[in-house]
Amino acid sequence: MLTLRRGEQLRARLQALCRRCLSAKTQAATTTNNITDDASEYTAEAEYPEIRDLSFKARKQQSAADWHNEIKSVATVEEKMIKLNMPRYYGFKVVDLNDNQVPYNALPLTQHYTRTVLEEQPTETASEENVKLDAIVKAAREDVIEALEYAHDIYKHQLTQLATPPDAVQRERQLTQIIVEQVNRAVLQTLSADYAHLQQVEIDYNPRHEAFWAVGGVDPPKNVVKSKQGHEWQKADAHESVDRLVQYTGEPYLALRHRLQLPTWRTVEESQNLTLAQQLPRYKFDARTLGYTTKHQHAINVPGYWPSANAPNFGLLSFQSRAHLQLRPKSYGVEDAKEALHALAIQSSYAWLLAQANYNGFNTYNELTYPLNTQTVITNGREWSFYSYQLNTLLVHGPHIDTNPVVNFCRGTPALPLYGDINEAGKCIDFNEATLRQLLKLYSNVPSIQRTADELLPYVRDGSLRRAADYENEEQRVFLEQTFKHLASKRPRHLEIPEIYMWEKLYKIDHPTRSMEPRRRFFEYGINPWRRTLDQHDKEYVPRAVRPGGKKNREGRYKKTYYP
Amino acid sequence: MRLTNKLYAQHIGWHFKKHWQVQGRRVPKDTGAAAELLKMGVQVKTSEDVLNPKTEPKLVEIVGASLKPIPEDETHPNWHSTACHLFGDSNVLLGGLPQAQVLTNSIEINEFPRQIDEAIFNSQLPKTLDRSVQNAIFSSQLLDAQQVKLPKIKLADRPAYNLPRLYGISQERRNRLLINKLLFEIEKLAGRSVTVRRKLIDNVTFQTSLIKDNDVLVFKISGDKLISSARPLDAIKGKFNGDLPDLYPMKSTVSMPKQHIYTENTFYPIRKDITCSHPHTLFTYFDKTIVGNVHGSEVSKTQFYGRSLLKAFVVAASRAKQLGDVPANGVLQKPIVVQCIQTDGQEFHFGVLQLNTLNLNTDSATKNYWFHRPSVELFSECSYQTGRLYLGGYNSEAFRILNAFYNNF
Repeated sequence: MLTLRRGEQLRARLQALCRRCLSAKTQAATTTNNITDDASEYTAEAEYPEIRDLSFKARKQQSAADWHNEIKSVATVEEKMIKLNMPRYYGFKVVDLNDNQVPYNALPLTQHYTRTVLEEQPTETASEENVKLDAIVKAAREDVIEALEYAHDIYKHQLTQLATPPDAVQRERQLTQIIVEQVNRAVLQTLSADYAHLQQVEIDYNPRHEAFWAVGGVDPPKNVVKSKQGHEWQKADAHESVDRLVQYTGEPYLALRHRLQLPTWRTVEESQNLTLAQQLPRYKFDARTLGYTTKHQHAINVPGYWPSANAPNFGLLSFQSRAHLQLRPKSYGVEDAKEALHALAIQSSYAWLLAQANYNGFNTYNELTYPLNTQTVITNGREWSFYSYQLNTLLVHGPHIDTNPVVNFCRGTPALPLYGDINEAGKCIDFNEATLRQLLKLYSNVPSIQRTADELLPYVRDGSLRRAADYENEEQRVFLEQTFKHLASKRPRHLEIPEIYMWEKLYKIDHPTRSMEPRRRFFEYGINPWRRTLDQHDKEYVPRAVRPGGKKNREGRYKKTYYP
Repeated sequence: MRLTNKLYAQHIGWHFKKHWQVQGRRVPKDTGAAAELLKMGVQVKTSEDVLNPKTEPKLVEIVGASLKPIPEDETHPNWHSTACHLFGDSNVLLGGLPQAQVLTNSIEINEFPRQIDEAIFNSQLPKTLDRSVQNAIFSSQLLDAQQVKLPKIKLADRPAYNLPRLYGISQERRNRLLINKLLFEIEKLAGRSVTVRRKLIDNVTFQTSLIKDNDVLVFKISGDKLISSARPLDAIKGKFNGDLPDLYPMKSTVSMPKQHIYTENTFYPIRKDITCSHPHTLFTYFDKTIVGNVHGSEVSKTQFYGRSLLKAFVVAASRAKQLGDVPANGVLQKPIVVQCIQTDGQEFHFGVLQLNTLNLNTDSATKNYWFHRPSVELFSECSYQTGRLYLGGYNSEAFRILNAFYNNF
């Protein structure tokens, strides 16, 4: 049986070779016929085509680069995100980063995975802006204090009604949600007279933030090493790093978006620094060694909303939760608690910006052409930490982790208390104006960078075709819209992925003791279900009654698919 | 067929096994020995008692993650011998608005108070506003990225047919986003002078209990958003007369489930010594998968209206009880005015309640006032059509009324 199949393969290969040979010959014959005496075909020195590196590694890199270019050349934003998912019908195996778990010592991994340089917030210098800010702080102070007292009072009063109060993490989440909404409303009311951009913001309440990216420079898993060591010619490369795919999932309390981009605070020259990039921490072990888990899912990038033509596409400010940090043991130490906040800020900022970048046609394999900025606040109502983030590069996969000179920047403050306590009478004690000042500084940061649509979306087709809704073909629009939402909904596939049962592993794979049994199972046919691609499914049937081209039309029996 | 196969049909070993079982079930004959012995004063024990004496399992108190549920019977601390009639979040009154009127002793006035009508008529909204409102509708109904499993859809004429399960934005989230976005637009228009005197708070609960013609009524509702103001709404000027509808042969408490476990507490979500504690407007969402009739039929329009009235009434009554100056006859010295907006994200029902009395008995001379108009649709359809956003039947009337309600003082 095996020899038969092998024989078929060989025969097919031979035939292909012959065909190529024949076609080359005929082509040569036709060209010789058309030879003219045109001198322009000749040059003084021979121009040879580039010599391609035909080593295994180089070919692998080339095919990866081809795939990345293929994604780049896809027409619309949604199709690019579908294209990213094309290789896997059942989703990728991803490291699960999320906003309700930060394990011990997470900062080096976070910096490695996001290529981020962490800096202290620079000290303020006296300027006109600061004088203006002082006035605003004075104006907003009373409103913010009132909002805080109101939020506390209401929540405390509500808890008296419950027989069993929720646990501490849940309590903090609920209270902070109220505080953040109240403070945001108070600040917007005070500032919107002086800052017109606050009139145009779009507020997302508990939006869905997700991002997907690939990270290089991580040690290979054991099975890969063993498998490579089994082949003589791959033994030398057995310990070479293997890319890991990462999916971030988060749900901030509140996020503000604006039509324009925030100004950058690092120039292009400052961002291109290979020595700085190489000094970044590198976490070579698998992320599971820290306590992160893996899961299977599609590559999803969502900055809180679906792509649409005139949406405010750029993040201004997001308020993240730190409620789960309560669950971390005290023995992790003070220093690690600080680092956990930094890690949380970096992960959430990077993921949100990456999702925004995806809506502008970039992705983890196609580099940004302009920087993106955002601001992040992590709070539990009392303690507030403020961060600004500048995303310069998205390339952290494969060899780019070593060679890419561009880095991202994050700068932030430690956690600052907004108030000391709320006393029995419901009054705010020790209100900290410096913290309020930091918060207002983020709100008063005016988004001012405007780019033309061609600059914003350099990798999408052209002015008339940017999103799936721009297609003229109605059927194609519907298909793309539904496929995109289907992927993003994370709904399970119609049939679960086939499984190798334990007894089959023992008696059919490791020790083939059942040679008389017919081979019916997928692994007996050499099918790897994980390798099933997104478009490998039965096409949707069109009933005769609604079939275009009449009932007898056999061409239109199945709905067309428009996978990129 | 070969006959030899049949030879094995009766398995002799199996029958031997069965034989022991049959023998084991045999009842020993009473020989009269036990009775003789008892007569002689000798204690008789069965062999079971000697070999396997019964021991009571010791109860071990386990300190677990959750508390033990209290049994819902007479031993419950909140048990009352007389059952109350409960109005909660998930039930509606069978009789709809007429029943709600009788229950709350309110007369219906089919228009808004004059100041609100004038505000709606005189409001001059900027031309760009319609676009902002439409964007708000789109971003709350379609463009939000939440994807959760939506409730099952059933076809009335084919109830056994299973439609594909849809994923999308949950009804509750749609409503929350829409109201938040509309209020954001309104607050931008109103300016700081108005907005500092209002506070918005989500997910509030109200509770109160009243007695009507010897029936105990307990109201336990939640509001999805409450606007509280620094100053109470003024009493509505004008004289209003009307009669309560006649429900005969129905009683006003029909379809309200009876419960023995209840408390007669009153709860208003904001303490009274806070500056912004006066109820201004209550937003309540209507989700037909949660709210329904006790017998499971669809909620009718009049039941929908009745729900708004009851919600407004509970807010006003719990506030009146919290303020604590209710005289014995129930007539309030200073009436409490509450606005109520009920919406399913598409249809908006606006109403204003003036609570004059807490006396709900049929002989009460003073009546409460319920001003309302039929509900208005903000839009008739909002969906993806052929892969593009589509908004059909947009009507700015709902937004104008909402704006007038917000600015009312």
